[in-house]
Amino acid sequence: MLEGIYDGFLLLMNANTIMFIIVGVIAGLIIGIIPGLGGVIGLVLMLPFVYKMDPATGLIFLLAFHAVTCTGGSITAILLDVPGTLSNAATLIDGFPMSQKGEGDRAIGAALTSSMLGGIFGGVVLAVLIPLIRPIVLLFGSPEIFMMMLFGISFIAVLGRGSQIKGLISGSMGILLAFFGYATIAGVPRYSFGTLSLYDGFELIPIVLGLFALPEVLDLVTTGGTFAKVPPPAVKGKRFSLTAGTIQGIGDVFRHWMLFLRSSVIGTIIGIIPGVGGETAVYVAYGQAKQASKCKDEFGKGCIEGVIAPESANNAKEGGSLMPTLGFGIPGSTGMAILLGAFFIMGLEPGPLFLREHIDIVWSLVYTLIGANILGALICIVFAKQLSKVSFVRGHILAPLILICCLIGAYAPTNSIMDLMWMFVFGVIGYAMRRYNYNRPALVLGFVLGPEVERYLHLSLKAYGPLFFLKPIALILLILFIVVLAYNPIKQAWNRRRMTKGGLGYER
Amino acid sequence: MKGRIGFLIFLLIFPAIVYFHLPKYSFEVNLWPTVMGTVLLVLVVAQIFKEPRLKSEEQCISIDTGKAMEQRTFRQLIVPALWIIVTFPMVYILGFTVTIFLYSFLYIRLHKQSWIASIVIPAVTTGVVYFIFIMTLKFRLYEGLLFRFM
Amino acid sequence: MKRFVFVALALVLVFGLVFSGCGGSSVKMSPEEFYKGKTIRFIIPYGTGGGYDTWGRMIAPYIAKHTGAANAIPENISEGAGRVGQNMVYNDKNADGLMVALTGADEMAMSILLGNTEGMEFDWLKFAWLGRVTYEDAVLLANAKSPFTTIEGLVNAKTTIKAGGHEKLAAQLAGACLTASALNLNVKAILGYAGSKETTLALQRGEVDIATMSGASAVKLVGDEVKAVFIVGETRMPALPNVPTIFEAAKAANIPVTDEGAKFIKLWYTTRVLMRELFAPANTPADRVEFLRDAVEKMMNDPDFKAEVNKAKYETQYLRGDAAQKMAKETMDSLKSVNMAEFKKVLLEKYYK
Repeated sequence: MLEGIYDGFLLLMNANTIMFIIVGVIAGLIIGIIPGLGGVIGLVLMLPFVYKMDPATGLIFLLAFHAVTCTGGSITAILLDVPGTLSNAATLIDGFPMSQKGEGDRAIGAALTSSMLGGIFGGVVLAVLIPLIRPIVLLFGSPEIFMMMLFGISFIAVLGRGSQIKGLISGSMGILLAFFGYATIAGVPRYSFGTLSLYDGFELIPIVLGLFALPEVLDLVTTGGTFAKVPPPAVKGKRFSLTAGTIQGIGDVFRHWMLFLRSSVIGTIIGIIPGVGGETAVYVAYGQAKQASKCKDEFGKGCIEGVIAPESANNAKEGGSLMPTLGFGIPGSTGMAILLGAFFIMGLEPGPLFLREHIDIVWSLVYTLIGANILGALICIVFAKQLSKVSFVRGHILAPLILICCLIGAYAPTNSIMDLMWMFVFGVIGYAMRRYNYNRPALVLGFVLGPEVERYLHLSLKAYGPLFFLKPIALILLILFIVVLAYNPIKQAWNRRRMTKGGLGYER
Repeated sequence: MKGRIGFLIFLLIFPAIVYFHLPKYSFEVNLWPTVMGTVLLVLVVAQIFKEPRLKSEEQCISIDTGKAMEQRTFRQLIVPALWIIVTFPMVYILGFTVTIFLYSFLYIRLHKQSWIASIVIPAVTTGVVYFIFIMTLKFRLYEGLLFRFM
Repeated sequence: MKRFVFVALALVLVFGLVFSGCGGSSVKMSPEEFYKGKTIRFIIPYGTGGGYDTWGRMIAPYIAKHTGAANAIPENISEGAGRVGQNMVYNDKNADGLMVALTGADEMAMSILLGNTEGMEFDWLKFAWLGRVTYEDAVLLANAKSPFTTIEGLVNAKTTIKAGGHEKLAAQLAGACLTASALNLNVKAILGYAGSKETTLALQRGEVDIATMSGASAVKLVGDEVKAVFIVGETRMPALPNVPTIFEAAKAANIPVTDEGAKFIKLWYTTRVLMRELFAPANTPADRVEFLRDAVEKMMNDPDFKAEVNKAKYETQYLRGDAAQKMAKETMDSLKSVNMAEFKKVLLEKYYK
């Protein structure tokens, strides 16, 4: 293992590779910032470039690209209430209200710092656990994954932003929508009305673009105004200097270092589990941040903790998801699936043999992950002031541009025009949800997790019978989750008892 | 309030679809959709009963921004909505590249921005899209029905 | 306002002319002349990252090379589990030879045999068959720690044998069900894993006991955690020379194989050799079809292509288009001697409790 540490470093130390890392990071940031073009589509678009490169350089480029897309995407989520990539979907919950209040640069500062440190955390954990990759991934079977997802989905109740019933309505809608389409557990398409377009059900990206981006575009078209509802702060100083807000945001991450650590751990663990995607990690991180926070009522209205948690998790998860990918050739996330394809095309084959024969490439990927995260965040911070100006651009210029990005973004994943139509349908639904105060992130959460919970429950029952939750790790997870979820209600009830007992004694 | 109730009634389509398909699928396939559909049904009905009792001032505060929302009438929204929806038939008939240029040009021009903006921005956008997708990545963007017949 | 409309219309016309190249003419020219400098659409009716996608992206540049086209651009159209892409290719109105698809005729054959033709807007035999790139044998794998690593272990099982897979008709479960029918095994088929990768993980973890995997992916898995039991087919795999076929293993251990089970396995095998076919639309002109077939043959013999295939640790099993098409037709004819209702039951119902 240790020989690889030095050799991996050597692989990076040539001008060609470094140049590709820089290009990869810049490309990743740009693709991340553009709504609709994040994550998987971005990687697919990069694949043709990679064929001509030699294996190590090509993989380093792809990883550098992929590692920073959710760093760039946080900016769009905060400034425009539209997630730049799917992993930024929880960042907008508190990020956008902050930018509405004029605190956009503070949110961006915090998001970028969390992203950078979270990415480093994930990379370091990956490095430390390289010898243990295989045993760890093998620990998580269907029962364990089911427990994790159940936990994730329970956060629908916690996501904040609005009334409880409406939140549950949104979440249930999301879950129901996900049931449309091919049901893996039985091999039949559900509710497809005989059409091929719905055979696979709805695609996530057109839904997210429709729900979040189109209502904003409609606003821009209607008023021609800007996103930010407060006038641009009169900022003095050099063009690339940091604003006071950005510096405050950077400091916030260090002030909330326990939160950062917890969120990064969550992100990494969820990344390690193959099958549970990155979208889950951000919601779980957000949810636990709210649970543990002393000012949980602020969540949803612009609380900095609600930005730090998901952004740490979504970068940390990349380090985690490299573990099953490299150790087993089993992708830890959809992005990793594409990366894996690139591995094969280059004649490399992740797996136990790979960990032994190409340990230098493994280490070079670890360094790339850490380096790309640092570089990406630094580039963004330097340009933070410029980037936050986006929310002050005239609506009538921004609207057609965002709309065009959405059109391409909805079409690109499946080359399907029908997905454009669904995007518009969800645009109408999204507008209504926004207008009537229904929680849109909850719908996305339900959509992402719903069918997976069903699937893993089915697999757990079939493989282990009804007592599957008694398997050691699953049981531990179950107990942990009950404790975490029940903690707050029990604490409140306990406090109430203490108050009445202690005899403040007023009647209600 | 009409709009709110209308939206809730729209949501009832989904449990309806689930129930309608009950005879078609096996128990296992039906199970969780039916559970969730029923949950949604109960919640929607509860909310429908709750609506008349809600204070109307509260409803105007957006949960996303914490501030009062603009109350827009249907008439105010119809033209902007059409500006957005028109892109779908445009892409379908003319394809992406033409739509990108034409739409951004027409939009910027007809919303009274400067002539420079209405030429430069579409040109740059189309150029960038063309360069990235078609020339460099050779990713095929839908060409539109019109050009299939030419 | 009117001025703007005029300008807009003028722009549409200009762009239309520029981007469509004023349409094609139907002057008769030889295939070589036709393909020179053109762009071929290479359709992959599946998602990115899978086996077909990897093969397709490897093949596309060589199709361009050997037809003289400027390039062949891969396009993933994964809607409808492949049907949308297949329908599109079959019904292509242009049918000028500039569209090629890599898809699985084995899956088409099985769908037809089992009567699952919903969504199929084509007659699979009427595609222009350009050639088979490869096919993959199916090997039954078992978790090394389970008692099922030998045929005796399977037959003498004291508990239910759990088999895992993604879809009923994909190799993982189909092979397990057919094995169960041939050897009278007590198998429980668990459907719902997200793909062969997830099934692999379940197999390595011991969550399922057996799964059938094809070709290259199977070879890579065999090791300490997973053992190969036998090939579910009639011939051995070159990459796993020491693994017997199910029939050889049964004979060596004196275990009877049911007649019907053996017939089913043979039938399944004859559909599996129709994998990874290159197709062109139904009405592509005959001379261009032949030209494309020649191009495919040249590609299969191209040393650069072979080197790339080796690098990815794949194998080719080339069969020229017309021969593949003939073989497909014979498969359909041979089904007359098989009890279809029972075949269907074995694959789709019997082991799914």
